[in-house]
Parts: sequence; structure tokens; C-alpha cells
Amino acid sequence: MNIRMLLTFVLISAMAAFAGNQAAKAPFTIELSTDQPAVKAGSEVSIKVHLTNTSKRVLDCSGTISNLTGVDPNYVFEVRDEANSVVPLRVYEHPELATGQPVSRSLKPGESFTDEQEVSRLIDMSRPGKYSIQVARRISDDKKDGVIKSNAITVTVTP
Amino acid sequence: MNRTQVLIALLLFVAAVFPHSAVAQNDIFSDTGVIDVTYICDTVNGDDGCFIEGFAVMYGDTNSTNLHGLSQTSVSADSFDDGWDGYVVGDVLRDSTEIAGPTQAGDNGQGVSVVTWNVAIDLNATHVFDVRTDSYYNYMGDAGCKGGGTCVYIASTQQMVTLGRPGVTSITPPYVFVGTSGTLTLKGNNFVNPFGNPTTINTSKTGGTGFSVSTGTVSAMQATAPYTATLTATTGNWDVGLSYALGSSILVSTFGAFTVGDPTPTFSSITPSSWAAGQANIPVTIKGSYFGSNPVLVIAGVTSSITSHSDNGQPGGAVINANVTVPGCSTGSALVTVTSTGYNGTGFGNAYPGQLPYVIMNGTIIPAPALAPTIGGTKSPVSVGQLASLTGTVPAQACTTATSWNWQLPAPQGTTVGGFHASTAGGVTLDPLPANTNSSYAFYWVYPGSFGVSAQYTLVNGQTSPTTTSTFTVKGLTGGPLSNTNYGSLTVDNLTGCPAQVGGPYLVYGNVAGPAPGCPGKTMGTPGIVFDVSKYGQPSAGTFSWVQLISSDTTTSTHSNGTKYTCTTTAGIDLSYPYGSHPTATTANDAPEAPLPTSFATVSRSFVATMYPLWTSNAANAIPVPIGNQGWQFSGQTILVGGKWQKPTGNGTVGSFTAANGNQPNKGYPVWTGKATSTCQ
Repeated sequence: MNIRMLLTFVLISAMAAFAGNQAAKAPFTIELSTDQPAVKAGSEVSIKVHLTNTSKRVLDCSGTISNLTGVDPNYVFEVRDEANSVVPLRVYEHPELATGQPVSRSLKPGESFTDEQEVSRLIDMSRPGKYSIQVARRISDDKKDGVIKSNAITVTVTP
Repeated sequence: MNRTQVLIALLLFVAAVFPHSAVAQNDIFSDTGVIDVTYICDTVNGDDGCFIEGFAVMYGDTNSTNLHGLSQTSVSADSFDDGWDGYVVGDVLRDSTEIAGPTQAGDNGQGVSVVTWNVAIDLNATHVFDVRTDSYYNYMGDAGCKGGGTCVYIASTQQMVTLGRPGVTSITPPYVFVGTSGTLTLKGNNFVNPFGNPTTINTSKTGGTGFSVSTGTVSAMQATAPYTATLTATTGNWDVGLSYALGSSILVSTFGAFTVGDPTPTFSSITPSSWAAGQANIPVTIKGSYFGSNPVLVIAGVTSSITSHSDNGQPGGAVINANVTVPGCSTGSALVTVTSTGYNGTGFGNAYPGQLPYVIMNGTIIPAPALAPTIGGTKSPVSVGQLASLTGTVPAQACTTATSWNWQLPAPQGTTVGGFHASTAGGVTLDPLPANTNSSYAFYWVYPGSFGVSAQYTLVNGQTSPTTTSTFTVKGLTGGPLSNTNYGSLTVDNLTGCPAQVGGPYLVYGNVAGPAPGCPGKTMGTPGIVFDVSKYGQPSAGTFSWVQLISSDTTTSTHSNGTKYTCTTTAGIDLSYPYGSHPTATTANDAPEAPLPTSFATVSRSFVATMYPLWTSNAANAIPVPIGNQGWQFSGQTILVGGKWQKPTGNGTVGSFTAANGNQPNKGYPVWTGKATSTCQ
């Protein structure tokens, strides 16, 4: 192996390692939990969303919350029933008339906060059964960066 | 001396000893004197097998000295064959039943008539024997008395005697203690040998030693027996026997219910009688009586050991020297028990049923005092909302086992809570102070000041310690107050839509640009209201948080035809707990937005809310504390003219700031019971 070949090998290895580190280190983490894993049908289903900024940059968490649903628009909720089917969103009569308010906040590197999200205002969870709830959040405004998903939790709606 | 002489002598003796049994029928008897019975069941005159023997004799003797007073001379006539024959006749009765005779004997031609009986005596029972004799002369010329002829009665005699085995029926006292002497009294019957052999009283027990009696006075039904029981005498039942010889037999009555026992121990003093808890090897002297040769000392709840002891068996002659070690937490009385194991090494021997081998008394334990506790854990100063986690410690002392604690917050207590919980749906819940009876005590001061915390404890021995008080300086926020920037008016702003919501014009309190409700992204511009706590100085590193409560919020959209679409928001917490819109560490803002669809002609909104800033120390497990609250409101409307929403009318105002204090409802914390929710119709 000559010097050129050696340098090429080292460069390729370094790039591969850098790429691996970038992929492994997400800029934030989302962790779901709930104090009420079982609720009666008709009751609200709230979960706790714990967001931690694991990057070295300030993470903007702003959005404008609709008073119709009350959930943070930065989160994409996916709720599946026992048949693993996606549970549809709730239908409101005049969604275009929803009031709202902007929420301005950000997370410094290492900071975190926990929000309660009343997911049942967004998704119809009125029928008894077991629901699997997972939350995704876009890494950036660029869709190509993809999303980061939370863990999934199960909430049981009893008759 | 021939046999007759012996018998005569014996008769005279018996008559002397038993005068009642020598019954003379008339003076002839006494003059002739030789009509009698005797009982030979003794060894005095040779044993004949213990039979009762009757012997009657009549003999002729003309000597006037022998016949003086005898009116009849026929004896001598008979003796000289004067035509009269002399006879004696007799029998023996036992318990009034004739068992021998009648036997008759005539003159032997020499003036002597003799009849005898020989009846076995039953020594296993008591009987009354009755020996009767008659003597008479029959005239030889006719059939005499027996034939209905002439006869002359001379004399008759009768002797009665009770014969039987001696029997002891009781002994008083029924028991004696070892180491004593005295006199026993025996009661019963047949204690006296009718023939004069001496009565003997003695004791016996197989293998027994040390208990002896001697024979005292003896009468037919009572006897006395001086006794001696040595201190080491064998205890238990002893036989006490009363006996005398009858012939070759020794008649014995044994009383087997007599007991020699150990005396019951008694106390006279215990010195000292009070012992301090926690002290070891306290010398104690116990005095009393009859502790025995190897006493056992047990003192309940303490450790005791006998170092020496003595007991001379006399009243007040017992001493025990012991060491007593009292556990540190002991209290109350200690039952002192001395148990005697007797004196002869075989254990305590009861003298009577139910006798206790031990004696008890109480010693007193002086409880160990409780010294003042120390308070450890969180140190002063603390910040409001910081967990005060305190621990009480019992100092080194004799007893360190505390059963309970008593934590107190002397006045002024400050506003204290046991814990804080908050949720969007449930509001703020404040825990009461924890139980103050444990060694640890954890709580929070919500407001600043200088406060004392006192603790005392109660030991297992009942002693309560003095109170120790620690004073805490509780630091709170300084400076302030809450400031605000109020935009004061409404604007129509175009907001950007997203897949979840269309964009368009909105009636906004403030003047902003950004995403429509339900869309992510940052909103720029000037919010309607900005609250700022940056004027406060923090007592330690901490963070601010916010709660906004909506009192009312009504948006009315009116069509050009006058029909209305009204959205009403119930009172409750805005968004969630904590309030999410806080762009900086010290600020929170709001810019309520209402859509302005062109299908309506007029949109108006009235909004009333109160903002509550809170502060939380960065100390571990700290809770938020309230700073105060400030109400604000706005109202206004816009109308659609020519397809364009006009500049809104109306304004917004901010109320005065109210600092939080512990006298307010919920100790100054915001109160809500659920999320503010909007319904439209």
C-alpha cells in the first residue's frame, strides 16, 4: 500500500465515521408517558410529551395552537387501534373558525420541557379499546431531514 | 412361783390397772378373791400365741384369815367332803356374742374348781371382750343347781376389756419445715398397750434422713412426740408410727400423710431497690428468710447474677448479694423473684399443696432521661419552594430508641406545604404537611421569612426530650414587580396556513405575522401582551414558569344577514400547565387570534384572563412558588367592508399586579379545575 492509497483509506474511514455519528445523534428526543393508562370512554385522553434538545443549537418549539384541538402543531400524532389501524382525526364542524394563539418558546441545548397534550381532542378515541399512541416531530423545516419518533405508549379506553 | 401364783399376781395387777374391768358382784368375791380372768398376749409371762384366756378358781381354805367375812362355810365343808360340791362356771363374749363356754368345772375333791378358756384375739380389729364367771355350791344330796336341787351361789365376776390395734387418725401440725423442732400431737385410739408394754412413736421414710421424733406423753387417744427436722432433712412424706408390743406382735399404726417440707422464702429488704436504666453491675443486697442453699434470682427485664448468698435456715437468716445490669431503655418496675431450691440439694420440697417455692417483690427502674435531639438535613438558609428535608437524631445516651417524634413549626410558621402537584386537567394540589411523628420531616416554605422548626422525641421508656429548635432563613424573590407590555389594540393580520388549517386574515390582539392556528412555526411581531419578571432578583438559581387562567373568551361572528356564530370559552387554564408561550426565561406573552372568514360581516371578541408567574428553585425536588397575578383583557371588533376587514375597534387593558401571599386562596397559587375549552354554535 502506497501513501496515496493509505491517505485515501484514512479519509474514507473518517467520513464514514462522521456520517455515522451524525445519523446516530438526533437533535432532540421525544418521550411519551401517561399518568392514566386506562380511562373511561368519553373522558379525555392526555399524555405527557417530554421533549429534550440533545443538539448544540437552540431548538425552536414555536407554533400556533388551535383552540379547537389544543395540541402543539409541531407534533404529529399517530394513534392505532387494536387492529393496528390508524385512528382517524376528530371531525369538527367548522375547523376554519378555530381561534388560536401563538406559542413562542425554544429549548436551549440540553434543556427539556414536558407538555400535556390532550390527544383525544385531535383524534377520536371515544370507542373502548386499546390505543397505541406515538408522536413524531420534524427535525427541521426541510422535509428531507425526516422526523424523530417517540416511544409508543398504550392507553386503554374502558366502556 | 408356780403358774397359779403367777396368775394370781397377774390378776391383782390387772385389777389394779383396770379397776373398771374387775367387777365384784359382792364381797364374797373380794374375800375369796380368786375368781378372775386374765389376758395373756404379752411377753411378760411368756408368749402363748396372743390368746385371751379366762381362768377362774375356787379353792377351799378353812383358814379364817382367808375366809373372813365369808358367810358360807360350805367351802371348807366341801373341802372336807361335807356334802357340798363347789363349782365354777364361766364364758367369754366378744362384742356381746358368746365365743367360748359356758364351761363348768367341779370340785376336784380337794376343794379346787378351775375353768379356763383360750380364745384367739383378732388383732386386726377392735373388740370388746367380756369374761364372766360364777361360782356356787351344789348340795350333793340332790341335783344341785343344775338339776333343780339345792345350791348356794357364792359369787360372780365379770371383766370387760377392749382390745385392738392402735390407730393414729391425725397429727398436728400436719407438716413441719426443715430446720425446726417442736412437738407433734397424735390423736387416735388404742394408743396404750392394755398389758403395759410401752408405746413408742417414731418416724420412717425410705432413704430419708434428718427427721426424728421421740415419744412424749401417751394416753388412750392422744400422744405427743417431740420432733426435730434438720435443715437438710429429707423432704416429702414421712411415716409417723405409734406402736407397742402385744405378744410377739408389734402393733403399729402408721400415719402416712405427714410431710417434712421446705419453708417458703420471704423478703425483708432489697437494697437499693431503685436502679438507674443503663447502669451495669449495680450491687444489690436482698435479705429475707429461707432462700435455701442454692437460691435462684430472676429480675424481670434486667440482667442479674448472684455473687454470693447465705442462709442459716433461721428467720431473717438469708442474704443474697447480686449484681444487676439494667438495659438502657428499661422503665417501670422490675419483678424480683427469689426461688428456693431447698436445703438438701434435691430441690424444693413442698410442705403442703399449693405452697410456693418463691417470693416476689418489685424493684424500681429509674428511666434514662431523654436529651435534646439534634436537627440535621437541610441547612439554613433555604429558598422558597426548596425542599426542607430535616432529620431528627437522638443523641448518644443510655436509651436511644425513640417511639415517636414531634415536629412543630412554632409561630410564625410561614406558609408551609407538604408538596405540590399540578396538572392541566386537575389544577394545583397542595399536600398537607406530613406526619410530624417520624424522625424525618420534609416540607416546603412557600414564602420568605425567618422561621423556627422544633423537634422533640419520646423514648420507648416514656421519657420525652427537651425541644430543639432550628431557625431557618427562607429567602424569596426580591425586587419586582411583574411588569408588562400591553399592545392595547387589535389588528387584522394575515396568517400563514398549513395542511391542517387554511391561512388568511385573523383578528389579533397585537400585531403579528406567522402561522395560522394549528400550524407549526414561529410567530413574529408584537404580541398583545408581554409579561416580564426580569425585575425580580432570585434568591438562588431558578426558573420562572407561568400559568394563565382564562376567565371568559367570547368570539361572535355575524353574517351579513344577522345570524351569528358564537364561540364561548369556559373558564379554565389557557393551553396547558405550565403556560407554553414564554419566549425568554423571564417573559410570557399572548396574542389571541380569531379567524376572519369572508362569509361573515362582523367579528367581535371579548377576552379576560389573568397571568400568574411562578418561580422554582433549581435545588433538588423544589416546587414552584407563586409570585402574584395580574389580570388583563381586551375587546374589539372588525367589520368586512368591500371584501376587506377593516381596522378593528376596541382596546386592551391590564389590571394591577397582586403579589401572592399565604392568606390568599390556595396559598396564592392559581386555582383552576380544568382546561379552558371553547364551544361554538
